[in-house]
Amino acid sequence: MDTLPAPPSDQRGGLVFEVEGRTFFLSAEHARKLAPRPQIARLPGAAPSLLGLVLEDGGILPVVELGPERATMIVCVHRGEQLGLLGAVGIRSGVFPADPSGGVTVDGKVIPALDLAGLYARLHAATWGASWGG
Amino acid sequence: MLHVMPPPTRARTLASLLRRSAKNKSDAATPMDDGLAWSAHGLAVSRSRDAAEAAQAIAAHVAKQRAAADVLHDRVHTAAARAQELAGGFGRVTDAFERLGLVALNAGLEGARLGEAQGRSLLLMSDEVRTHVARGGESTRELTAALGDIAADVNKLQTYVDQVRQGATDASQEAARVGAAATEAERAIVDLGSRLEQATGSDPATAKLVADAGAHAKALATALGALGAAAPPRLVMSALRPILEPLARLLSSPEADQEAG
Repeated sequence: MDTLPAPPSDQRGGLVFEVEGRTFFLSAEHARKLAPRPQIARLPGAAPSLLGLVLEDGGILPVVELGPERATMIVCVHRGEQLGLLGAVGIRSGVFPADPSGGVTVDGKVIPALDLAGLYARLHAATWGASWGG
Repeated sequence: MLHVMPPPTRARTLASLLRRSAKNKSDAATPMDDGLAWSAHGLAVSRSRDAAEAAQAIAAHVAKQRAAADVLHDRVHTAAARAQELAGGFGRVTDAFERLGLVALNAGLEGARLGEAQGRSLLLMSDEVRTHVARGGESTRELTAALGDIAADVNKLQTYVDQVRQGATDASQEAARVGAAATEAERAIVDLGSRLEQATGSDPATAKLVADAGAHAKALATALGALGAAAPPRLVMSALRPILEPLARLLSSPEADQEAG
């Protein structure tokens, strides 16, 4: 993803999705793709937010719960590690006007960016700092 | 017809019945009453036969209704199964639209990664596909809901058809009971006729003759009364003697007295 051309500073490309009535933005830098509901292998003793592990494109990645929906999984990348987000409903993807907060503006409404780094850090903290295979 | 003489045996029987009628006017049963009883008996036999035939006709109609209800039941059952299959098909279409929606969103993400200049065609295609997916998905949901309503109606129809079939079965059994009862009633009435014949010594044909003769006799008595008031008795006697004398002899014969007595 480092080789992507930088979008104009007033625009951001990525995915807009909904979790339990709240809308979030995830940049194309982090959002890799949307996949149908995966087969999840649960991990005994894992943190409640960690649903388990899934096999995706030949690799194993942890899946974190965002909400109750189970139809789609967002495959994203953070610090070179893949992470699955379950519970979101994809609404739109493309290039949107950037908002100073780090999110985007869609149809005149400011959509905040998902705090993927915070989510990642919380997950690490909950799993006693265990590595996911990095 | 009084001027036609009946055979001797019949004449004696007739005289006997007439004498009995004249003697027992105050009794409970007279030959005229026998005639009325036989008439009622004949009517009862006829009506019980009608009832048995009507019961058979009802049973035949009910059997046809039941056959039609059975065909309807099969059709409704087939329609319900077809609706179930269609619901499964709509489910697969919905899944396909959802997958297509994911493809459109992924194309949009890829277009966003390429940048607006290079990824423009992907972004446009993504929007276009997403719009069609939204429309198709909405239409499929509406069709699924409509199919669900139809399936619910078909299920209700199935319940009603089952009730009709049960009703036809019940009606058929009732018609059979009515038919059996009518046949039994006819047998009983025929048996009653035999007992009536033994009790009165008359049969339906004789009773009808007696009734007819009684009606003629009443008419003759009326006519004689009117004639007696209008014409001299001697003239009346001379004119009617050839007819009335054989009748008088018949009524006063010893055999008639013996039989009537």
